[in-house]
Amino acid sequence: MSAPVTPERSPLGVFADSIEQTGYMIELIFGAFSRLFTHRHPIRLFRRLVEQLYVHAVKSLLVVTVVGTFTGMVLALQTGAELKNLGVEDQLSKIVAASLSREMGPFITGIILAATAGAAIAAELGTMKVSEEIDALELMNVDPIAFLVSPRIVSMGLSCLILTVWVNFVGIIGAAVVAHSQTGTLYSDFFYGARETLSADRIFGVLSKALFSGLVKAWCFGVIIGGLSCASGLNASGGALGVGRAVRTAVTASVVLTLIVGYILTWFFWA
Amino acid sequence: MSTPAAAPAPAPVAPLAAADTADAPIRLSGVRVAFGDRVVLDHLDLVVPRGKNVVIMGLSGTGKSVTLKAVAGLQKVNAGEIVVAGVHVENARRAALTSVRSKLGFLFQSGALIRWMTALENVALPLVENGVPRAEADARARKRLDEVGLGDSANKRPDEMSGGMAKRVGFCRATIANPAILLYDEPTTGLDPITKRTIDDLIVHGRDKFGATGVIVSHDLRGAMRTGDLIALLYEGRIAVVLPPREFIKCDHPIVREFVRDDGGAAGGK
Ligand SMILES: Nc1ncnc2c1ncn2[C@@H]1O[C@H](COP(=O)(O)OP(=O)(O)OP(=O)(O)O)[C@@H](O)[C@H]1O
Ligand SMILES: [Mg+2]
Repeated sequence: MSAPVTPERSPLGVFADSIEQTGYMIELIFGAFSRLFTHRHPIRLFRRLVEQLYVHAVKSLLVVTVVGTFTGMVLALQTGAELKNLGVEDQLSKIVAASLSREMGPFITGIILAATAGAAIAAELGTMKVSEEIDALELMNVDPIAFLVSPRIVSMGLSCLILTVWVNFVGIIGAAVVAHSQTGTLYSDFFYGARETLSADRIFGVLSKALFSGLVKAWCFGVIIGGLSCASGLNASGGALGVGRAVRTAVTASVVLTLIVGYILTWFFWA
Repeated sequence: MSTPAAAPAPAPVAPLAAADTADAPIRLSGVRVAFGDRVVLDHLDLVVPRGKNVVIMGLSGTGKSVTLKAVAGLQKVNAGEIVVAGVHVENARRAALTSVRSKLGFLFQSGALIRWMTALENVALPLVENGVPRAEADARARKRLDEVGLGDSANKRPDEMSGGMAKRVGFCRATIANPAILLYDEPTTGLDPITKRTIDDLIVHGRDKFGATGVIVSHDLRGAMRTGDLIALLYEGRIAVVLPPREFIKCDHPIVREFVRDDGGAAGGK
C-alpha cells in the first residue's frame, strides 16, 4: 500500500512552516498555562486534563518501556566494553545513570511522544479544524484554547515528565541486566552506583542535578511538543490532505525543536 | 402549524420598508470576499429585518456559505461592512465578537459536531459552557432532540449518525439557547420530506415564538416559501433579487425561472 501523496512542499517550505508554527506555539503555550488560572470551571478542566494524561501517558507506556529498556541495554553494552578495556567497568552504572537521566531519558521520551501523542494531537485538532468544529466552538463562545489546547499541552508536559522517570528506571534495569551478563557485575553494586550518581549534588536538597536537569528538560520537551502539535493542528487547512501536512509539520518541528532546546538546556545546566 | 405545500402562506412583506431596516440585526453592504484571484462575493448588499427570515438561494458554489460565515465573523472580508446586532464584525475585537456570538446560533452545512461527544452532549454544549447546570441543559437538549425525531439517538456519536441525523443534531445545537439571530446553512438538505417539514416548522416557530431573526441558505424552493419572509437570490457575487416569496417566484430572473421550473410549479408561480 502506498502512502497518500500530499501536494509536495519543498524541504525549505516545511522548514518555513515549522518556524511559523513555532511562533504560534509560543502563543498557545502561554495561553494554555494562563487558562489554568482563569478557567471558569477548574473541575471540568481537571477532568479533561486527566483524560488527556491517560491518552498521552498510558497509551505510550508500552513503546516507551521497550525503547527505554533497550536504550539502557545498548548503552551498557557499548560503554561496558570500552570501560572493561580501561579496567574501570565498575564505573558503568554511574555513566549509564548519568547519561540516561541527563540526556537520553528526556530525549527519547520526547521523540517518542512527538511521534505518537504529538502526531495524534495534530491529526485530531487538524481534523476538527478542517471539518469546522473549531469554528463551531468559537461560535458557541467556547474558547478552543481552554477547551482543547490547555489540557493537551499541560498533560504533554506531565506525561513527558512521568515517562522520563519511567524510562530512566527501566533503562537502568536493562543496563544492569547487560552489565551482569557481560562483566558479572552484581545487581546490588550496579544499583548502588546508579543511586549514588542520582543522589549526588542535590539541588534544593531534594533532587540531584542530573535528575533535576533531566526532568526540567523532559517537561520543556513535553510542553513544546504539545504546543507545536496543537499549533499545526489548529493551522491545518484543505481537507484530509491538510491534516496530513499538519501531522508532518508537527513531528518535524517537534524533533528539531526538541534537539535545539535540549542543547540550550544542557548548556544552561552544565556548561 | 404546517401549511399545505400547495398553498404556502407566509404573510407577504413589503421588501425593505424603512421601518424594518432601521434596526435590522444583520446588515451587509458592499461586501467583497476573494480567495486569491477568485472573487466570490463582490458588492454584496443585504439587510435582514428584525424578526424576519431571509432565505438565500443560489447555484452551488456561488458563495452562500461564505456569506453566512462572514456574517458570523468566521470569514475575513476584503471590503465592505457587516453589522450584526450593532457590531461591525468585519473588524471586531475579540470581546465585541464574543458578545455578538452570544446572540447567534449557527447551523453548519456539514453539521460540525464535536466528534467525540454524543448527540446529547453536542446539543447541550452551548448551554453547559455558558453556565446552565448540567441536568437542566441535558433535559432541554433531550427535549429538543425529541422534537426533531432523534429522541432515541441521543447517545450516538457523530460517526454513528447519517448525514441527515448530523444535520438535525446541528440544528438542535444551533437553536438550543434560543438565540436572537439564527444562521442556517442548508438546514433541510438531505432530509426526507416529512423531516424537512418538521425542521421548517421549527424555524418558523423560532421566529414566531422568540422573534428570532434568521438567514436560511436553502436549495429547497418549497421550504423557502414556507420559512422565508423574503427570498434572496445570490448570483455572480451579489444579491440579485430580494422579494417576498410569492413575488420571488414570479420574478423574471432566469435563475429564478429555472428554480421554479425545476420545482414543477408546485410552489406556485407564473
Ligand atoms: N477556504 C476557501 N478557500 C478557497 N476557496 C474557497 C474557500 N471557501 C470557499 N471557497 C470558494 O468559494 C466559493 C463559494 O463557496 P461556498 O461554500 O460559499 O458555496 P455555496 O454557495 O455555499 O455552495 P453550496 O450550495 O454547494 O453549498 C466556491 O467556489 C469555493 O470554491
Ligand atoms: Mg454551502
